[in-house]
Amino acid sequence: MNKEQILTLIQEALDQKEPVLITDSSQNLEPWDSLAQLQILMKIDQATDGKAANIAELAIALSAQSIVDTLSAHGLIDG
Amino acid sequence: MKSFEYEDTIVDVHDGSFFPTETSKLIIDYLKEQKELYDSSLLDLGCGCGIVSLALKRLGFSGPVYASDISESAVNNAIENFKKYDIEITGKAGSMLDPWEDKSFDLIIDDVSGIAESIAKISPWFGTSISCESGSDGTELTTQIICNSTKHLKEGGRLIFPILTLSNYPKIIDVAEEIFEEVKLVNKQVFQFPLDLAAKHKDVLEKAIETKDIIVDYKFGMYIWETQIYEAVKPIK
Repeated sequence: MNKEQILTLIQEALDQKEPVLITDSSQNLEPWDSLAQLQILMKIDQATDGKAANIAELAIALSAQSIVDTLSAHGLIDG
Repeated sequence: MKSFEYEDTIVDVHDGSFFPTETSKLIIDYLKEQKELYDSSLLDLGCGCGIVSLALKRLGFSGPVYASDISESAVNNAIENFKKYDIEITGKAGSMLDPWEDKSFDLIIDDVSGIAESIAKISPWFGTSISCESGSDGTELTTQIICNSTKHLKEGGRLIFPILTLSNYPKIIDVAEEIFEEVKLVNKQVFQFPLDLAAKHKDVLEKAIETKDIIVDYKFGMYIWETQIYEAVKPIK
């Protein structure tokens, strides 16, 4: 999985027409509420074949950048 | 008095009524897209304050509405909310389908969902005035409704029912599939079990998971559960 795929997953989870940018977060995207955060996590879980499910920090990663950084720190981002 | 809104429908929620949850929203979200059902006669089962059927009426459902709840106070609450919007409703108090002995409907919307009793006891969702007697694994109420629904469905009728995975929900699906030719998942939403409750009652949760009274995942440091909405059609004769 790469950074662009993560952004697409977030976009799908938020049901957004506009692409999600790396600078986006729950602060500037209205649909990014607690339920949407769970949807994002479930999509990441699926995309990583369950490998991300043990990363508790993802629950409080409320921006695209922090999600990418957290996944990267756990070796789940390519490149 | 508390209130709840779905789009531009606002209802008062009396103390004796179950406060609507995402389950009601998920049911409405699905049914409002089913335009072919808009002229259906509908039964709002476990109507509470009446939000599901009232919202659907205001979104374009044109058939007659019947509603019941085990709580008489909840039925009165629903009737008052319908009156506020000048919409007709036939409301009756009684357990499950008992108030509708000789009546059949195009659409039965069951908004009664059970959860395992051990979880109900520790959750804030059930007040002391609201019944949640759904057995240790949370399947009894929904299963009974599914079993009894067929004699209240008109030809081609549909049953909509919610399942919370804070129950042994595969048992409910098995029963539904024994009774209906088609049972399909039409909407769902994931939730996290509140972290403070999970921390306080970890032992209760772990026991319920172990005994399969609930089927939830532990992911991202949270207990994750789902509300699922099913549609059942074509009762097997």
